[in-house]
Amino acid sequence: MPDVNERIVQQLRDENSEDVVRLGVLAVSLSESNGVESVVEQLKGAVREILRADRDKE
Amino acid sequence: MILQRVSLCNFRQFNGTQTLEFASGSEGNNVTVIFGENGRGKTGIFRAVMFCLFGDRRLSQDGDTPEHELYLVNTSALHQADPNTPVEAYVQLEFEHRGVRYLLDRRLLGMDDDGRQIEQNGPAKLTVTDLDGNTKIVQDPTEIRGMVNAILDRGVREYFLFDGEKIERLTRASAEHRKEVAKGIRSLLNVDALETAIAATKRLVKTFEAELDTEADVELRRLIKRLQENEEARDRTKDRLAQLSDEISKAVDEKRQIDEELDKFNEIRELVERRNLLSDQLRSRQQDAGFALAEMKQLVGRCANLIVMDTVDSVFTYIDERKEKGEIPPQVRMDLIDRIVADHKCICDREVLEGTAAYDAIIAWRGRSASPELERAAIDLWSDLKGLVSEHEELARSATTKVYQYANINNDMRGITERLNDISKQIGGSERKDAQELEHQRSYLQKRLIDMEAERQRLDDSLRDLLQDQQSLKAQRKSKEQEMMRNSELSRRALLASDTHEALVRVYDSFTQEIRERIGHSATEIFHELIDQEGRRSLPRIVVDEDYSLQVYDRWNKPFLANISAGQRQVMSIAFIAALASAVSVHDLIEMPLFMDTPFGRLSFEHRRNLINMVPGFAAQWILLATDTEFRKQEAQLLKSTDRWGRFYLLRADGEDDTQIREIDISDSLALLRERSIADEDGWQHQS
Repeated sequence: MPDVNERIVQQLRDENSEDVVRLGVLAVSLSESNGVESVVEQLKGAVREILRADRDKE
Repeated sequence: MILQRVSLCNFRQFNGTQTLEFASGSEGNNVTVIFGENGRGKTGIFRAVMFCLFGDRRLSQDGDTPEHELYLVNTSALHQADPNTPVEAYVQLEFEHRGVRYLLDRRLLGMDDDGRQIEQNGPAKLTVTDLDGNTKIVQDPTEIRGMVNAILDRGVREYFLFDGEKIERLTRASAEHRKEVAKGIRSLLNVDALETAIAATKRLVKTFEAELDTEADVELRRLIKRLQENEEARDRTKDRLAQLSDEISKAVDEKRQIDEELDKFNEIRELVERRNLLSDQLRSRQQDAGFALAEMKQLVGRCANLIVMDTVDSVFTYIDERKEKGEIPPQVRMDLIDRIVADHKCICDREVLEGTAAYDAIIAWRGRSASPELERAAIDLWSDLKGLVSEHEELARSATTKVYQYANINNDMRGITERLNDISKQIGGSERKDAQELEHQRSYLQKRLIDMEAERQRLDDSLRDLLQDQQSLKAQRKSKEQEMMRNSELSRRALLASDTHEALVRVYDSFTQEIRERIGHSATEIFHELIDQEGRRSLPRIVVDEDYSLQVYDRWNKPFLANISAGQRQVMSIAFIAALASAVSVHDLIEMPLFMDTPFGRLSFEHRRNLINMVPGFAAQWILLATDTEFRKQEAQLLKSTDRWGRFYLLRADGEDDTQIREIDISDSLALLRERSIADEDGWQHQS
């Protein structure tokens, strides 16, 4: 059986932007040991962080 | 998961404490046979394992028996105890999973209350010893449940620990059962984190959208609202489709049972066979009609022109004739005529005075000329119409062909339906009243099935349309948001969350589809190794549907599950279990034990032989609870020849409600077992 996480990261990388890959991988990794509510809260912060980093790069 | 030992104390038929060790794969021996006559406690051992692992008091085979009538505490032990004194019963199960050792102990109390047995569940304790030898004791029931489910999900427990005679019901599961099974399989596939991530990003998108709503313009709000409505409509359609699928499978099942009943009436057997053949033809033509209709739908847009084709033809002919005559574009341009009239002088320098014939002729030309814009429009129109005229014949021909084709299919369907009605009347007209009643029920079910299939097709079409709308709305929204994004942090957030959610959904869909295909492929291979030659030829393919239900296709690639025998269903279910287990196992070997109560009841000798030869090779452990009618010298000899048979137990009555477990040396087993007789052969064939 293929390793699910490895597979997720690989497919995300193949098809998406760097920001989507970062957020997607983080969402799955947080979901390993957290419930939906907690993951949502943590992702909100991560989204702001990713967009801030993008602005800084620009 | 490998089961190592089970100890039972005052549980079901087992008075006092008794222990049974399973062949667990050491030295290649991984098969345990527990042998006993009916009522000796084979199912009691099966029940003990289920009770210990999941706290189940009830097995699926208990049917509608009320729970208070199912006694787990041994009644002899209760009678031996002092009146009004509770008796403790327990089951201890030792097992290993990926190197970690587990000892699970689950207890219950029973008491005789004026001739009525009352029972109460007691505590459970799980002792876990990890790879380094560290031991941890867990007593919280929720934590124990979580740990056991992580090894063998409750939703799929009956895939590995099952009653052989009932296992074929896996192929007839209800929608509710399928949902539970699908959940268990997803848990085995370890995609629950991905599912949580999908749910979380969906919620994230909604949160950001709600915030975005405060600063979005009217257009964006409208798009978001339409997308939400689209999602609700898709959810409603999907729910109805799932419900419909359940109703259809129930109706198919019911119809199959009626057919089996009808089949018993010899005088109508031939008619029933003819009707089945016609029903297959009708189904096939219904599919053809669906395809033809879809092709016609595709033509509808282009064929709209055909409605106004007479007008198009006459306008084109009119302009074309004018063009041929040189009137379009006109040979004399209007601006030239205007100049002659204004200057009163022709291009040849002759005077053209008012009132002369030449002047009147020029004025007449002027009347026939048009403005340059009108001329251009006429030429453009001519060119467009030329394209339409040239393709309309081809279009009309292909539309006519499709309409005839559809009409022919409908005629065929009408013909088949009429013949079906005739046959149904003949069947219903037989003197057997019960056959008539069955026939009425069958006709009703047949009509319902046709209606439901039609509704399903409509809903499938509608779902496809909704998905297309959704794609278009999403694209519009994305472009609108990108437009806003330059100055909106909220838009950027919503867009990133939405892109991530969609990406995760794509990964999930493709991963689960791949796994389903793999399980289907592997189940087909195993099925073909287990089934007899005729089965291999007539049932070439097993498919796992989106809801993880099973379907088998015949050699004409038509769904055939409703028509296979109980024995074939049992073999198919075992193949599916093996395929599922190997899909989730790290190595080629299935990591779960196959614990089978009454494994061979419905199987022919060829199927038994195949199972005995194959299963010990692909399962880590095989535990058989068999009676003397299904496990005889022949089966025992076959099993011995595999060199996998590790332990053999005999369940012997030692007074009422008191069974003793005795281990027998395998080399002595043959002396205990009966020969298979001709009568048994017939019995097997009849059952299979």
